[in-house]
Amino acid sequence: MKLINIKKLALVSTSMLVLATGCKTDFDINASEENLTAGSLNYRDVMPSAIASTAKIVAADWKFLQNWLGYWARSGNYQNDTEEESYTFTNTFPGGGGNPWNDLYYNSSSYNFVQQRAQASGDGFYEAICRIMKSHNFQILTDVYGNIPYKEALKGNDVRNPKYDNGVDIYNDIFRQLDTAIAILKDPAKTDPSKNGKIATNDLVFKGNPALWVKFANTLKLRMLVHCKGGGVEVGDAEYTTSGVDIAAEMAIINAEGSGFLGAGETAKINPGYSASKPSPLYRFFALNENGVLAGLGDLTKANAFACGLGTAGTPGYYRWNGDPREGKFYVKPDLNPDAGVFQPATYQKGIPYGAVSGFAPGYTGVDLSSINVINLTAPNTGLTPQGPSSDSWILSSVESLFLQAEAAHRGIITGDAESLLTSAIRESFVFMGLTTAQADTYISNNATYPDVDYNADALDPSLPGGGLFTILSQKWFALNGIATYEIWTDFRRTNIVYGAGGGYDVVNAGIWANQLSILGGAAAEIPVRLFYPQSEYSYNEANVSAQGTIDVFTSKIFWDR
Amino acid sequence: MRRFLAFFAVLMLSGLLASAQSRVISGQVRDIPGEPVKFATVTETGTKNMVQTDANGSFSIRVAGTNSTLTVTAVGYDAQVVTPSGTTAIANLVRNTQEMTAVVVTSLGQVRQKSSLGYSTATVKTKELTQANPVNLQNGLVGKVSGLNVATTNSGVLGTTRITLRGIRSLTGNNQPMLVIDGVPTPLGFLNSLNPNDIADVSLLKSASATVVYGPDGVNGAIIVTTKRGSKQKPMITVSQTTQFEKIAYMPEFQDRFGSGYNQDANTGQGTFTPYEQQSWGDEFDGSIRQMGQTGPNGEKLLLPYSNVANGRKNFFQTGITSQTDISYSTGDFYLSAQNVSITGTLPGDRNDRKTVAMNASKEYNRFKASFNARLTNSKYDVTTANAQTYYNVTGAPGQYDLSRFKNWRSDYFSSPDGYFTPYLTNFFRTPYMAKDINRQKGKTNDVIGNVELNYKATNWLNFVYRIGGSATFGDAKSTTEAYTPSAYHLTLTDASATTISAAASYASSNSSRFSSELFANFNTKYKKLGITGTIGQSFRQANSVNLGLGSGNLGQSTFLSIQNRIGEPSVSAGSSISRLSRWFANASFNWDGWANLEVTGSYDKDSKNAPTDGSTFANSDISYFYPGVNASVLLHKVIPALESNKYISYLKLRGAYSKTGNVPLVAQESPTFSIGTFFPYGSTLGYNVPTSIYKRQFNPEFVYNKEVGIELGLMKNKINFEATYYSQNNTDQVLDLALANSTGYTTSKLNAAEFNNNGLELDLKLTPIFKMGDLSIDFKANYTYQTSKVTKLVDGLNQIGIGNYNWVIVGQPVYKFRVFDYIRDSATGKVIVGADGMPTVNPNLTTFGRTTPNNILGLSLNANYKGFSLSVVAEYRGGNQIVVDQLGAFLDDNGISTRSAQYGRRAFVWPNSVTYDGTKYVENTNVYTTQYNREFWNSDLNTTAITNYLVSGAFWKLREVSLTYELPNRLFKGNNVLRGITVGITGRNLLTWLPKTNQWTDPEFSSNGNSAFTGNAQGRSTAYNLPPTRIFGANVVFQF
Repeated sequence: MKLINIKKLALVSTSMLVLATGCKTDFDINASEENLTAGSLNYRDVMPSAIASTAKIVAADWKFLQNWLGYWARSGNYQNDTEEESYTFTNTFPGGGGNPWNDLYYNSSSYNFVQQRAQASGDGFYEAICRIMKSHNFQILTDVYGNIPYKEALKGNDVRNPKYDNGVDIYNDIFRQLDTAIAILKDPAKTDPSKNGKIATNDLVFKGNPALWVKFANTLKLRMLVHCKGGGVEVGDAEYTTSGVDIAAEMAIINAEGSGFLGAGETAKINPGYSASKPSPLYRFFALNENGVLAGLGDLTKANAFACGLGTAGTPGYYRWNGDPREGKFYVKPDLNPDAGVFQPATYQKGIPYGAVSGFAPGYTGVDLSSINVINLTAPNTGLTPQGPSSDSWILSSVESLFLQAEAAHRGIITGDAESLLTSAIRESFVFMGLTTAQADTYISNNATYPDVDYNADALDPSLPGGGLFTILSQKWFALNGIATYEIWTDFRRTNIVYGAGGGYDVVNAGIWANQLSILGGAAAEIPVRLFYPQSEYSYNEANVSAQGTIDVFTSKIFWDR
Repeated sequence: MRRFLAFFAVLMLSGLLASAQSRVISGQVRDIPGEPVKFATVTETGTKNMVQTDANGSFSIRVAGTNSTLTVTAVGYDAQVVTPSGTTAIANLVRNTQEMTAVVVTSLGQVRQKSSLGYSTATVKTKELTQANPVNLQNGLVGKVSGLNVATTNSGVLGTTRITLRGIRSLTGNNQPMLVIDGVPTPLGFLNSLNPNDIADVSLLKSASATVVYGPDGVNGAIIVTTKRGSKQKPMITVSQTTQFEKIAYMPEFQDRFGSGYNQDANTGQGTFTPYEQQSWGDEFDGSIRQMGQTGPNGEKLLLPYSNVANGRKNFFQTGITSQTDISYSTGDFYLSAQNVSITGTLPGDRNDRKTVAMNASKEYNRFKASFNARLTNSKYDVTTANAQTYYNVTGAPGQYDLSRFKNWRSDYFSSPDGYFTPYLTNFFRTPYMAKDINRQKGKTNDVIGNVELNYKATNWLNFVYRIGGSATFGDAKSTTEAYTPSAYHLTLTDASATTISAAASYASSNSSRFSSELFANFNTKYKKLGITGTIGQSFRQANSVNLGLGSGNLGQSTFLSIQNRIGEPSVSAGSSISRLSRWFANASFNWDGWANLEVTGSYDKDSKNAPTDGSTFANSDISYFYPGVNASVLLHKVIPALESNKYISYLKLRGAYSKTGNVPLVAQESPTFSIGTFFPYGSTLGYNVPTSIYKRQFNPEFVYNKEVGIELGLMKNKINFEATYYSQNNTDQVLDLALANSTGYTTSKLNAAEFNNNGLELDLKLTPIFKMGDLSIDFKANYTYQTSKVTKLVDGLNQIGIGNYNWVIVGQPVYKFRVFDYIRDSATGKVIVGADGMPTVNPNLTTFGRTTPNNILGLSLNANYKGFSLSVVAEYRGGNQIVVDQLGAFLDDNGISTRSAQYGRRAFVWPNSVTYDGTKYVENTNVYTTQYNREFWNSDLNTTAITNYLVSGAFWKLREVSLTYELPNRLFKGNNVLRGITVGITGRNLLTWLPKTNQWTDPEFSSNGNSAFTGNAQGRSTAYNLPPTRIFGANVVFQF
């Protein structure tokens, strides 16, 4: 009996051992079969999405500026956005659709990832594009927020509390980043398409054309150099140059390089295949989304009375003031005409004063008002979305490049004829909006002697500015409506003027902001010169952001702002 | 498969070796009331040949001698010697002590004497569990056990619960206990598919010390479910039917003075009526007949009295009905059951149908025993996906409407989205009836559980168990949205903003399965006074899941809601996961002379989830951890002479336990994931977004060091039982998603980032009976739980980290505490400072307030029996925490519907408990009236961003269960060969709730984490996604054949 038991035990024990160890099981199974990780994707395929995101930020993150700068306004049947409209915003502004800080840092993180991978594997073209695009993002961030994390930014866990760099230092480093990128782009060995796999398709902007990327980089440099020149628009206002940026030396580098800037027809734009089910960003956020449903922001956004007037004969908007045919491209007349008895011809555009609260006046809601062009679904596609949802989305337009060149020439940053560059810029704007150069020329000749159109016009009144720089900046306001609003904001901040119509609207004294509010009988107020740092910095990078001191959005200026 | 065959072969061989010269005696062990006694030991007298009874008290034993008698012993009963009559033997044991000495089912499905355990356990019997006919097991546990917190975090047909034992051990990971069904670890979600009537009993192992052999799975304690087995008595068929009604218990408190309107009269400051306004800032109700909404296309007008309609909003909801039909068949070797539950919700149109079939069977052959059970559950549900918007639209409606008037939204003009009284509701949800009807989800879930257990008794002191179990869930769901186009006439109405809605359809399919096997040997031997029992074994678990989704948000205006109709590209997604856990475990328990017990346990785990996710190489030691534990108990009444003869104290046990375990805080394959960029791919152009979170390559498990001591006391011949446990758990290496500033390029970083401890006290008192006279006996039980915790360390020298929903982890404070916006207060008195305009100012910095989860839980239950009548009542108190009802509360204030918004009659008031500055100091404010008092205040950031306006005590008393049953006397069925018994009963659940006066909104148990997961750690903040609380009452009848 004892013997049997031992045998049995031995058998059972042996079998147990066999069972327990019989299957040599693999425990190296924790890498995902479905989720994409850094190890399981081709890093090059990150770049198209990053570029598309930049285009989205350019097109859709600036509703508040469109409103502040007199282009758009809130439809009267929505409750007011107190923060945005009374400028009493906090560090969570702007929330909702897009926040420039969060979007631009996150977008830059994508470029950073591709840049590092490309550098490690010697894919120069990818590296150069990412350096340029990252520079583009940091240039905008600096212009909006001033001193920001830069050298220590985008380092994830390695630097959880990045220090802030001075805006001027960031500008100066961006010049060098662009130099590096240009050097790579001009080295055929490094941009060889066979080495830079998929570059012709993954470069959504210039399809693998290094020469155009060099021009893009130079234009970006020019944008920054022009930012560093301020003032000089109003009567008696002296021009100034921001200290810390050596404009002449930087210009010498650009000239030595020799490729020049983006010219007519060379807009940095993308169209990866936008369609009704994959609408381009402006259309998606302000017209119909991919489900064919009116986008949330679309319904909210109407024409501003400053740009389009109140719909009465006596108060045309400033596009109409000069008979500017672009008005019909940026705006579409009201769907319905229920106010025939109240208003003058229903053919007039009709805007709403920005800040008008519900009950401002009858007929200032929804269908009574001009839409911003992209929204009007019954009108044919024109203006900024000439192909509707399939329209191109831009990052840096040839129109802006020409305006930058005109101003640079006027201010002597570059050599060239400011007036002819301005004419090219206006023509390019007309073409950009689906009009002709002939219409541009008619517009210019029709408005001879008006300083907001005619470069050579005299001031209408000795206290008001004449043509020249004033004309360039006025025309830039007309041209870049919805295209590069942050640049118009920057122009306002560094020159204190956005637009002066024939009647002479001066921002400080009776500016559009005061005008907007005075329609309502409100107090005059300037618009902010910067945004607060976001709440996430105060929550998670507190020591460093606090070192920037107390931020006042009306007085804490960006380094190039006098 | 290889494993299984090998073992089977061995078993067959050993079976052949067994002796054949003997006879088998089978029978049942019962106690004097006739209830079967499970796990009693039946010994062939004078030998070491022994067996244990099964869950039904049944046994069969092979005896050698022809005249052998059997000695039956069971813990808590006097031993008895029975002489078999032929091959059957029935023992009727006399109870000598009470529950505290009974047996409990512990980890691995092993039966242990409670008196020998060094850790805390609790058992809930089937009768106690199902007395109020809960649909789910977890609802049947509420209020009955100390240390247990079952929070029903939402109502509705899919009712969600969150279960914790002894608070939490992980700041952001899983804190819910593991579920073990018949010895097989099973995903916790299966609680919802178990038929409570199939359950024989439930043991709760409250700490990791009790579950060391389960390693990381058991770190939060365990719910051990034993299902019913066949009984060896005459076959019995039980049929029961329960019908329950569910009604809205209460709505948020509404004002009943003011109707619809938005603007105020410039002269009086009082509200003016707007017929089509959704908000309630109008003038006072006056009963006049007014036109509501706007005139219809044919001049129709909706004329209604301008007066408050009591229950006008509540009438939107209906009485939900739950119908449960059960049938079970129990005989010699098997148990079969089937259940059909159909639930219709209080939200009209929502329903859930569940069908369960289950079978348990076992077979014994000599020393070999095999058992098998299988369970299939099918659930079919049809619910709205617009809960929040529907509830918003209902609660937000002005008081002059009876919402049930607007039921027929497809046919009646004023109920339709074109003609509804207000044009202001969000596009997809233009009326509440439309919102719930056009946004639907229909789904099915099939749950299958099965397990096979093979038991081989090698010798009297050694047996082997091999158990293989599997569970699988197959789910699919289709969500749809109907298209809508506003009429041309609608667009001419004032403030019309409706636009076209495209139809949508999306499909989700998921399946998950889990297989586990356990092989272990139990030994049980005795050397003089030293008894040694133990287990050594190995287990393996593999879990897999796959989920697929596809959908389109654009089916145009199609009425055929299929993705075949889509415009543009569909959205698609695919995910899968796999994990493996292998474990060696052993425990040895040394018992000295029946009064002292020492147990040591250990488990060596290898978990694939510990491996890096980036595919990099790692060593075996990187993913393996050893978890030790020790526990001890002494029965002092057996050794201290003074106690042995004490006539009051009949039982006194001291116990203590210590263990270390680890909680793997990541789900399988969890890693920073690149998402596909918006609308990518465009043709062949791919596009990915970099992750927003960044992870360490590899994490430490969250280690839990559990310490507990307890005392168990029996007085007055154990009629009074008292049990107390103090525990302390130190939880290190807590993994947190540390929020990063966006300038780092990321928004979160996952890190081992915190350490905290939690401790508490658990008391259980049982008076059985508290009162007895003749046939009347009353039992009383009370349990009390106190739990608290303290954060000891955070990464980067941080002092506090928010985890969302205002829940914060703060060094030196209990986890979690609320941090919310408050008004600026005078630091001396704590009173709100108001300015010269009588208005306060919101403090831009967050202020820390109370705990987010209760720290005091008291459960009381009373059981009275008189002849066939049985009454049971369970009540529960929870308190010590606060809740935030900001979303619902602010919504109601914004809309001018809340009692708060009308508490001062919409006139100027002196801010309660406020101070003003008199030029030198703050003085009590008695006469500075608010300058804003109508909509301009109540619907403003000054009111709604001060979250403290919606921060109130989370305390409550609930009458959890009341049931009264009557069992028809046996004599009625004498001579009846068919029917053997009838029981009828009425039951109620959550019949009454008492809330503090400050809580004007909802059930404090309700919680939301994000939109759908109500079970996360950030508790205490309810949202509009939570439906109103309900009460349930019903009746049932049971027939036994």
